[in-house]
Amino acid sequence: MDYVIETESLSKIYISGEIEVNALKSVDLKIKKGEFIAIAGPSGSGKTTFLNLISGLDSINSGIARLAGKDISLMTKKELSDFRRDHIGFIFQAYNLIPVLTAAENIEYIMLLQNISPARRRERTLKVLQDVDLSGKENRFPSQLSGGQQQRVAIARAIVSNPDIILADEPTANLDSETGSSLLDLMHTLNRKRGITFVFATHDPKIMDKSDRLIIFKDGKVDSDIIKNDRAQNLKNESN
Amino acid sequence: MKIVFLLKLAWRNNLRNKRRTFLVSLMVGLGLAALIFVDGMSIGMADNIVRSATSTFLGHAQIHGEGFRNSNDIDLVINENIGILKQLAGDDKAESFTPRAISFSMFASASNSDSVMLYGIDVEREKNISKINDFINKGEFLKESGQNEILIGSELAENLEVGIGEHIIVTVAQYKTGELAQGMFRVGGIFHSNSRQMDKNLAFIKLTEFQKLLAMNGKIHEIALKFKDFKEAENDFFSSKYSNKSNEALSWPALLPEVMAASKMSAVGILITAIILFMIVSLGIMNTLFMAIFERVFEFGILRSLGTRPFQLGLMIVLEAVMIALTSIVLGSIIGFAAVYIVGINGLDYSGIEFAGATFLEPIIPVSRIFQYIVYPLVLMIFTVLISIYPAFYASKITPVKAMRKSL
Ligand SMILES: Nc1ncnc2c1ncn2[C@@H]1O[C@H](COP(=O)(O)OP(=O)(O)O)[C@@H](O)[C@H]1O
Ligand SMILES: [Mg+2]
Repeated sequence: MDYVIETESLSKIYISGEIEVNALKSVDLKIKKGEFIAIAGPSGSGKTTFLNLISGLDSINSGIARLAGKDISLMTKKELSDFRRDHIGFIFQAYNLIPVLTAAENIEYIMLLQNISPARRRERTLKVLQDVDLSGKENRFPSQLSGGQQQRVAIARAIVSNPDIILADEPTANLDSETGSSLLDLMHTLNRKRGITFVFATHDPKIMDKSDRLIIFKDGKVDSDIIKNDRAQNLKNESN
Repeated sequence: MKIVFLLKLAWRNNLRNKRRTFLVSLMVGLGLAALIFVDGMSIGMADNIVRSATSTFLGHAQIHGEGFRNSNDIDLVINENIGILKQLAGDDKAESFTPRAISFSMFASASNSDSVMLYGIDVEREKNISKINDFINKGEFLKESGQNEILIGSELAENLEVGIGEHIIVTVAQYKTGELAQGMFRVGGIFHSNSRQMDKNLAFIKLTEFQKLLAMNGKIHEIALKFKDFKEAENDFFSSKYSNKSNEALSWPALLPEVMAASKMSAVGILITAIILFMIVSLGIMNTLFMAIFERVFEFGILRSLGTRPFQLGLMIVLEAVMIALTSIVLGSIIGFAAVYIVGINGLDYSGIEFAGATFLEPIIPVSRIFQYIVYPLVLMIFTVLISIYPAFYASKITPVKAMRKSL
């Protein structure tokens, strides 16, 4: 079926000196288009590793990860770069933006890599800035924006090229609770209105609350996978 | 399109640490400026050597009978010299020329004797070719009206222990017959050039008296000439036009191979200077690039995770180096031009110093040429791009995960 993400026995071992760390142990997960998923779990449980593996940012030791149906371990670095550019949006904990580029230029960057025409880039950038409530701030540099505004630019950048999925690693961790909430609302709205798939790695209870599906990692394994509402149940049923 | 954006990005990245970028550009620029200056000086010096070497006595070119230059055999005179002198008088590339006759001779004074190269010269024409007239420091130059006067070098005067008005017996072997002939001459002038060789070995009498003494009526051994444009000497025209009737016409590069060799040597010197400078400059640029890379590892992680290809990331680093090089080229060209200009106002005074057998007569003026502002900057740019490949490759190899883990 058409899962956005599908992993089979996905494993990752890090070797640092003498010590081997089993960061991920045989993870099987299927994620459908339109889901709003929180992956939670204690620090060091493998959440970031999971996001890195499924996006091709890090190499897989064993198992399979398919993104939009494509086995990413079969791709070259260049193909992976292009694949991320065209299919995945990223939001990180902090320092997401390129400091020497303005808000608009940060957002345009991916479209530029995609060879989209300047006029079209401009149009989409202004539109997406409106979506994240930052109209008029397009010419500000990151240092001239608050932390919350910077994360909004990061969201805008992640969604502007209509990726299949957005991977967000602790996106609210560096923000105060109020700013975090409004950011979460924004992403929730984008999910509901535009059907953009979100996968969060998070500690934030608000995100876990708002998610349709909560996956708990423990020691590199899926400890529990809970469908929290009808919407998620429906998505699940559809795919069966 | 993408490249324009990447250039903008590279430019802004360089401006992040303005002082560092400025300092490295200044350093690289100074290297370029030094190269421009050294190049200008060495051309100026070569010009100066040639000018000094040719203007003292040699002229820009000379005509001899074939074989005379090697043997100094007085029988090897210039064939049909009257025709040649006429031809030269009508040659609009020739500015001036003078006939000379030359022979080994023995000089004897009351107290001493010495062997000397005796020249018979055309008193008026000689002044247009050589500087002997300017070098007189006692007495005076030969006069058309004078009789049995001789002009000798200062060192020769010392050796013979003669002064103005004293007499010298000159002994020569005559033309064709080889019979010895003697004449008595009165020292009319003593010259002092900066060349020891001239001051010690040369003496001058009037051409007509020379021809009489050697019984070689109307015959000469050498014609020395100056071109209107001294660069003519580098062309072939003179040699091919006047080397005939068993005469040999040569211009200064052939007459002064050691001067030619010296200017080639200085080209090698410049090349070595250039290589050393470019090596230092490259290390500076490489160092700066690595500093800039290490500061931004996390950012590279982001760029890579957004879908920037490794090659594109590397290209960004190369473009940052290109920007540094461009700034350096602007700075270096301005500084280099200024240095050449300022030193050129008075020149560097090396007069009196002997080099490659010639003496500098004038201060050395550094010379600007387009080459310095095109080729050196171009080489600098190519060097910079080559040198930036290593840091660029390094940056492109940074894996996004490592980049982002390390820096958090
Ligand atoms: N590059 C790495 N080298 C060595 N160990 C790593 C590396 N990345 C992650 N780990 C280890 O793998 C485990 C999982 O880490 P991570 O996925 O970052 O957990 P989480 O995001 O859930 O906090 C941890 O024990 C961590 O120390
Ligand atoms: Mg993590």
